[in-house]
Amino acid sequence: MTDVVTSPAGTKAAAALLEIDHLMVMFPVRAGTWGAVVGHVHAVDDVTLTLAEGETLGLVGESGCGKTTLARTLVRLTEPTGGTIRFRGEDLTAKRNKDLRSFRRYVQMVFQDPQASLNPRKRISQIVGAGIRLRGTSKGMKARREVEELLARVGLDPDHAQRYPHEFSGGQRQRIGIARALAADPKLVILDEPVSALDVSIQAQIVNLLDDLQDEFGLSYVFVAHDLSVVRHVSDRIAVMYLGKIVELSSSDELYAQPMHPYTASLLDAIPIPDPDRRRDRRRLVGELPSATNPPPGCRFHTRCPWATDLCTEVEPPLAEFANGHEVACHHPLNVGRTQLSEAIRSESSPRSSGAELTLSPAEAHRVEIDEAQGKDETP
Amino acid sequence: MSDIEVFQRAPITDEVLRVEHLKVSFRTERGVVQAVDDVSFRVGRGEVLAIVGESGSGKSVSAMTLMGLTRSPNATISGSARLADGTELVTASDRDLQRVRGSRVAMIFQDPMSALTPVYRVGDQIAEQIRAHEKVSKAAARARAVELLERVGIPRAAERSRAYPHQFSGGMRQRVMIAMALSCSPEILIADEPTTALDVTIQSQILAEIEDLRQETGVAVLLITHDLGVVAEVASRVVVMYAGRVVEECEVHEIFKDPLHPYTWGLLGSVPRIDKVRPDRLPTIQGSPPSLLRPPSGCHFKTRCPHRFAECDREPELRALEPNSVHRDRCHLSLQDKRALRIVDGAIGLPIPVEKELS
Repeated sequence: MTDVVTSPAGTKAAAALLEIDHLMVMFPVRAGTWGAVVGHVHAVDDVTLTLAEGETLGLVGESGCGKTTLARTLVRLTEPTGGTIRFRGEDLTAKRNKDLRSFRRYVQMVFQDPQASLNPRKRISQIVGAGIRLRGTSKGMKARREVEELLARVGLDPDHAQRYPHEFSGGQRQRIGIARALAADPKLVILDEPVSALDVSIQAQIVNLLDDLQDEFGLSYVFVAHDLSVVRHVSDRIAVMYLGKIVELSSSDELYAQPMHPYTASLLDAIPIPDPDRRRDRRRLVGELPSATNPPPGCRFHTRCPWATDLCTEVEPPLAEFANGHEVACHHPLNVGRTQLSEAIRSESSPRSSGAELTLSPAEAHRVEIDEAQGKDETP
Repeated sequence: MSDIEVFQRAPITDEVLRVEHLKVSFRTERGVVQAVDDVSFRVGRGEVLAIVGESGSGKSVSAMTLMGLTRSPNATISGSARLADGTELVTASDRDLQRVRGSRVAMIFQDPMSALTPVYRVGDQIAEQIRAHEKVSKAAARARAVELLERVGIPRAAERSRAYPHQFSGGMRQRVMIAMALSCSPEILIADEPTTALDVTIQSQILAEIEDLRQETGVAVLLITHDLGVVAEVASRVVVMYAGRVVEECEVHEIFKDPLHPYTWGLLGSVPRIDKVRPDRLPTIQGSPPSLLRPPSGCHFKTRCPHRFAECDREPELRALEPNSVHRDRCHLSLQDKRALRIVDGAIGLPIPVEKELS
């Protein structure tokens, strides 16, 4: 699956299952007695991504970065304001009603809160059976048997098919949510923080289950998470979002070994490591996420970035693409040498509002400090 | 590091809280739930004791019982929880408890939005707490509220003290909660999953804040958490709970370097590590926690434990396996067996029998 990342842009598009092209989602902000629109929340602001068949793309960021909105837009639970989403070449953004319903068979979603996303008045057999009916191939006894098979496959007792959601624990409910998504026989499953609400030991079970199901059913995943440690386990590639924009996109292993965007680096740094010997003085990210209604000009991260220069406050950095497919939207990327910088090209995925040319330079003055910090973080 | 070393091995001489044989059960329609089953622990002055466990382990119920928050007609509470001066919290009258709550034992919760009143300005909420415990004027209490908000890192504190809780972000709300908790200089701060609802970047800010305040004021912290990363970061000692019981108790280094209970191994194993090479599969603990309506007889963990043997039907004691050790656990395995069995694929964890795996 990693060859997808390294292959040139042309072939990547050909094999793509999902192509997100300059996607925009804006929510109007209303105020006053008449509800006049006084501004917009730029939840997803010009995002371009592709997903290959069988691939898992992790989508990571803090609350309010737009990752969930993006995920919901992929199944059209939220309407895009601009741009296109193509699934196997077909434009989803143009689909209406009936067309949309037949497409939903192929793209299913698993939600964060299994309690809130299962109808409390329906039996498990009805919840999971809905997906099988949607597919329209099985009825009656055959459909019932399929429900039971699915339940067994996700690690539930098929005899419990007649029970209601409240009779299950959190982890079991998430298994039901997964069975419901699989019932439609999808190609792509959007997982919106599927394990965030679960205990660690149960989290690991669900992650392993998702792994197995992917191989067995040939699924592609978009895995939304705020937890960088879980997402690393499931993802082939990871996109890091900040205030509606993609700031970094890379193969999973490289992202953790060599984060190029200062935001990614500070996210990684903030994860507490279960080892008291590694209690460290972290470079703690100061401040909080700025308002998405009135995002900062230039690079959106410059208000919290320790390496920001004047350039960062003026020009929005385009996505710089490196030879191995690693992309970063930063004027002064970390962990990268001068030659690599000079060979980088402006990615076609760059937002339209970003600078027309790459203006890359290492954060020279701070270089020593960065190296020291990186050296300290080296894995044993 | 030096202040951590002090806690190493040193017996707690100066304790601010001693909990002994605490039992909490609730009568429900489906039977009696034994949420906390004979729990004992002590908190020393200025230390951070972490109580670790998953949902339903009884960690939150234990903490809430100290504050009298589990009292209800269907709850049965026994045992003892005493402060340094001998004040008994379990049997205290509601009025006595009110005097202790907020002033000597303060608590912060996982969800600061529901712990703050949405209809009062945050400054007034803090001032109200100060005036509930001390005879000061409104103006003086408000001024102190502003000072406290400033102290916990809220920018433009004077102005922000006049804002309502919904006008704050999650991280800022948690700072308000901490300011309120510290307003009467308590001896103990109970923090129930204080950073679970927050982003990692904000979590690390809040943990640092709590640590700064502890060093500055000497407040003891009882930290309830499920996150072993957080434990490694701030705790000095650890109590691991499972299904209402304490299964292991030790210094923070020991829980990571020399964990003795199989449940702790499983917990350590299932944390995805960003500082290690990623394994093909995440190690897990098979099955799910037992129902506290009908917990298994003997060891509570035996239903999920791959190392169980005949002896496990008999209830294990919480005991130290080495003389003079403060490291105690509740498991029948011998020390040699434990040290041999806990290593799976070069790391601490639980082996999963292939045929039994519930994936």
